[in-house]
Amino acid sequence: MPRRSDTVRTSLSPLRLVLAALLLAAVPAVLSTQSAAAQSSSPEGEWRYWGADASSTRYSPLDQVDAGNFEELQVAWQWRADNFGPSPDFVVRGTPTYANRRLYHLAGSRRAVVSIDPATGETLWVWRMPDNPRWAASPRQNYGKSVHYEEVDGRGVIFMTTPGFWLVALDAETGLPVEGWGPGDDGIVDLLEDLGDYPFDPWEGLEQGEITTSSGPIVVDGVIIVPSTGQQGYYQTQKENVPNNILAYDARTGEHLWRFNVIPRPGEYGHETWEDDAWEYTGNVGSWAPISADQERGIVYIVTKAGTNDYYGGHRPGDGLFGTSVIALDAQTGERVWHYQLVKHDIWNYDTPHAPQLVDITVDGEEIPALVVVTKQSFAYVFNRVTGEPIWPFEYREVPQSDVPGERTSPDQPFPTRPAPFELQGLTEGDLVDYTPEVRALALELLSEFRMGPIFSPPALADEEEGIVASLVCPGANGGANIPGGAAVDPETGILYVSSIKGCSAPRLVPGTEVDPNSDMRYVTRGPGGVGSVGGIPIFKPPYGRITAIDLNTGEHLWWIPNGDTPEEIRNHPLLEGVELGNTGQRSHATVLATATLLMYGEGRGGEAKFRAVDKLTGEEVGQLEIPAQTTTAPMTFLHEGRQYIILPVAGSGEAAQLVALTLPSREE
Amino acid sequence: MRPADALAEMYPTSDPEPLHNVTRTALVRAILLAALLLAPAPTLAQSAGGGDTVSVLEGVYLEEQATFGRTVFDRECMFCHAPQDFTGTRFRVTWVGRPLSSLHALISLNMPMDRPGALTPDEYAALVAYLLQLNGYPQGDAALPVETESLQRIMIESPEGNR
Repeated sequence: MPRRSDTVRTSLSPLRLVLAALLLAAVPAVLSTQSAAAQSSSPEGEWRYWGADASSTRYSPLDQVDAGNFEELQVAWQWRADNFGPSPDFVVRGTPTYANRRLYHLAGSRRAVVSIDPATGETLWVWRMPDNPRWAASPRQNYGKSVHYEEVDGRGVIFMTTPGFWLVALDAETGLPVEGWGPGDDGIVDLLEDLGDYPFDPWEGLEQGEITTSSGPIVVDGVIIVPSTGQQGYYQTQKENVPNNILAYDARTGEHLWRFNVIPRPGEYGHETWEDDAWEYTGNVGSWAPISADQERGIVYIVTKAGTNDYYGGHRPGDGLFGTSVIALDAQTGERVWHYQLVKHDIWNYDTPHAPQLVDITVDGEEIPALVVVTKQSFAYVFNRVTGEPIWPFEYREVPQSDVPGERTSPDQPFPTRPAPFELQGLTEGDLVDYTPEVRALALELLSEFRMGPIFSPPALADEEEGIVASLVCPGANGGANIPGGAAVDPETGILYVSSIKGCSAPRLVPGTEVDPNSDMRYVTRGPGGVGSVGGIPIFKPPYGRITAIDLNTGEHLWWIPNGDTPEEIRNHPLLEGVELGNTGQRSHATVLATATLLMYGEGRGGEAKFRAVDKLTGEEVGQLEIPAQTTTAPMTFLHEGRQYIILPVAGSGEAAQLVALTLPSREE
Repeated sequence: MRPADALAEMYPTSDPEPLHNVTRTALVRAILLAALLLAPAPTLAQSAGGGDTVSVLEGVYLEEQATFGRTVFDRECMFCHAPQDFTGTRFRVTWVGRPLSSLHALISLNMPMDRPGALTPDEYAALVAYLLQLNGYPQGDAALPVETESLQRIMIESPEGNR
């Protein structure tokens, strides 16, 4: 298929006209010029990347806030995202970045880029893409994770990707698109141009399939690497889609540099892992989790999800590289340095949910540049990030096989021998709640409709004769670990702090046409989703949610703590009167942040509106604070005009999405 | 006979129905909303009064509210959920003995999966009304309220034939 750049220029004119009109009308606040040395990782006290630094550590060396003063933190300001979309959002999925004295954030379902005064919370400028059909068709509008700040020839530039699949370069001081950048010299690149040979209309989008972005781009030595993703795989009813390829551009010009095909084409490495020509029509293998980079070595690390769709692989036989994998690419060329497929032929929705995290560790006296990948399936996979060698061996063990027509499960899966899993895997009767005989009997009654098994038990059809509605997938689609809580890693100690919940999914496969009359898939999922509970009491033994500290130098678990306190509904449950409960924790992903002094966390969307701090070496709590609403994703911290601020993305229980800034009282007060 | 089968026999409203097309759904929704707005029934919060609790067996939703809830379900929930998954053993073991606010909160704080909290308060209340109807709870002459405080006073008891 011919390249369509001419068509693009012409047909994009409605968008470009609207954009031009907006630009003329806009009167952005002009900020004072800052001079800062060009640096590609976070300068001290800054938080330039989604995960603090290119390593995605979610660690800051700041130390003003410590065990002695944590409870003195006060709300400095609240920034509200209510009006940045057609309706208020009740979840924040983005973490702000702080660079060169300004905060940058993505707001609401329009994914507006905002610059915020770090001291006051004032909105300094706003930029958003004009309304367009590609935005409307995006399956992940309010999924923006972060922008990327980069100094290009001494000028601060914000790079971001829109829900409609454009890459945009904005002047960091004015919020205006960078003139002279990109094919139209207007600061915008249409990513559909470079995805591959997939027919599209520049205004309406792809003719078949869908694509969007979730995590932001990252810049490595002048190259912008753009991850992409598609519709949530549990919704998909068509086997045909486009691959969510990884694209790269020149940060100075916007020129397209390379493309990495996540579904290898004929002649490319891994092509044979798509049997029966499934590569021709299968799509996805997206990277919705943030990406990270080794700036010194020029390697970018990307994690992926499965091909279309999440729970039925009968139309995509084979292991399906580079699905559910970690991929290391040379940032300059896009050449694969190494990869590892974490789940072969993934049919569990075990898409890799968190940025790979870089940390240097010492194992048996040997210094190793490592990479750790936390996952829904509750393994922390640890690699040498230069060679891709596992630090501790992964064993390929046999796993249960599917009996669903057309499905061919992988006979085995890799199991890391160390560290131990950080959350319950699989489900047996021994894992079930046993507070009282009555509660246990009810849990067993509930589970009589489900098939239990070890990890990697495949999704199944309902078995009406046996009264089985679904097979359990444990951990479930929400983890284990997942993006809202994620993990922090302390580069000073090599300790990983991973947040997780105990959970199972119950995906039931049904004929595709039962859900969508036009479906061409043999099976899709339409299941109960979860198992239910015993009147609100989870079916498993506690803890329901936890933070686990793992020493990556040894692979040993150091400690774990429940996330928050026992939920009120459990504490006062009529079925549990007189039962010694201990602390069950909240069944919610704790949102973690590590600093030089503390491990801090919010309880997440399913917990209470509290922010807590614990001792990093023991897990012992040193303080807690009430906050305006529950945290919904990763917090961040930075130093501005000599003061440490902590930003909490919060929402829920009637509170629309907002950022809450905490800081210590000034000394004069 | 399994409880779910017994329920299905007793309450034929849980039979599956084809998807509405978008136009029809929108039209039905507009008409229902207009009906709800033009003829506001007293909500349960007003009729219950004080700190008393009431049971879902007493009729706590309007039929048109449940009908509207079904259109919302078909539009927003059908891709992942089947109505029968909210009946029978799983409904009884999970929800009986709890206030209706718990069921409402689970849905309104977590669903739809990709944009939690994005439906209107009326839509979330209608979904709860539809689930009550699916489980055979009687309709009443007052609309199910949307406020948490009011929902906290409505207790979920065992539906007839599912104990």
